[in-house]
Amino acid sequence: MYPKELIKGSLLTIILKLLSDHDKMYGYQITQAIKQLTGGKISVTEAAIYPILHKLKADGELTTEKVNIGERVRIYYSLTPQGNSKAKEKITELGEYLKTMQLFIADKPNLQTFTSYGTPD
Amino acid sequence: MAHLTKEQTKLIRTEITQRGISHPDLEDDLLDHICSAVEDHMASGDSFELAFALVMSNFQQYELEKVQERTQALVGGTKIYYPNILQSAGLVLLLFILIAMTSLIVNPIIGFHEASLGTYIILIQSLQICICLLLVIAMARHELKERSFAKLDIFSINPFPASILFYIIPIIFLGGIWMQGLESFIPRSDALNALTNRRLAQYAESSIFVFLPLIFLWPLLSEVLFRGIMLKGMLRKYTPTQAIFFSGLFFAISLFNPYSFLHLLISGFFCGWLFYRTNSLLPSYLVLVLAELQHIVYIVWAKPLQHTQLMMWRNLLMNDVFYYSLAGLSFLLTMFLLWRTKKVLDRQPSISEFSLE
Repeated sequence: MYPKELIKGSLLTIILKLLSDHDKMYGYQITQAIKQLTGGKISVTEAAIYPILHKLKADGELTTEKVNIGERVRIYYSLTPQGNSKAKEKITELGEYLKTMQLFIADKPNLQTFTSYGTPD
Repeated sequence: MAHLTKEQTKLIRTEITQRGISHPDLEDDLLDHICSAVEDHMASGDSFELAFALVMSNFQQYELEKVQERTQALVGGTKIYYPNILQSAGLVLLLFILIAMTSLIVNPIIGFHEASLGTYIILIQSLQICICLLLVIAMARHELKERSFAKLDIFSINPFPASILFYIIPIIFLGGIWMQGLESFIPRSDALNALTNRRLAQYAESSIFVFLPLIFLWPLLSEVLFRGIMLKGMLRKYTPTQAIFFSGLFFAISLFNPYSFLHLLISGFFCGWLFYRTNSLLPSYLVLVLAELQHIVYIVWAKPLQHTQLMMWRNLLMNDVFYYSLAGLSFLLTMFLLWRTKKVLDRQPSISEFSLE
């Protein structure tokens, strides 16, 4: 399990990515998909996705479709054209960020030499 | 795939409601979420009771409540819930149309019966206000996506220092004295005089109890609409001075009456300032109720039949010099009491909710 801070910043992108891969999804399905695709490593608190979904809807990035399932209503979320471009933008952004992070944490000979100065042999 | 029965779904819905979830779409989302999770567990052989308990234990303590708060915080800052100046003007226009439409039905009835229906006119006005109030609440409820009336964020009732009441009550009384003087400077048309005289003749027959619904209902509508919704919204978008100015202006024109414009404007600014400083509708509601009560006590008591008789204090003193001196004095005293009120409120912590977005 990754720390909360790391997940928090990428949850929006994760949701947008999932929705751009599917025509429409409902809340529980999204939570399950996140658990499955990440092998349980990213396990958000059960209901954490809902505030984000409602915010995206209010901003016009998502549309909803209500379907009656027995005694309850299931709300399906899907991306609007505006939401689609936001999803692309967010996914690219996260990709770029990961690349930068890769560079940042990659072993650098200079750094090692520098640290070896301080280590007594 | 197991499907929950009607009773089982109802049980889960009750659990969600008991946890305070009242946002309609979120309620549907969470109900479907929990039902789906329970069905998954039942598919692998668990009983409903066990499955339900397992699913609920997956939620952290107060998680559902927090999710609702977060949803409202994220979604809240849009649309009419926080109206800007233009949207507020739209709301006033809507109020005009509503009053005009109900008047279309009511006025012919009043016209036929003249003074004999005086009592009913006031009751009908109360009814008009009730309709407006219900519409305003319904609209806010829709915009806020909030099912529970008690939780609607337009009835801001927060504690305020009770000592300001010692200043507010005399302010209303003194205001009643000097504002009559202000009104005497507003030019009056003959038509308006005739209308006022006719209304006064009708009021003369009514007992004070007939006015009671009006005394309590009209301030309620005004406070919820002009302070609880408009001012609250504008305080987040403009400086406090601008927000209080425009909410007061809209309040002043809302009664359609040029004669009452000035004193409504002044009370509007006062109420707006009180709301801004206390974040509570109670003090400003009290101001309007007391002002209205005072006005109606004057009318019922003195039974004026002519509009000139509305200048109670000038008529009572029977001398313009005396009256305008008294008016000037009461104005100065009002300013002093306002300054005292401000001193009391300055000692209160400032209200973070009204910081600019």
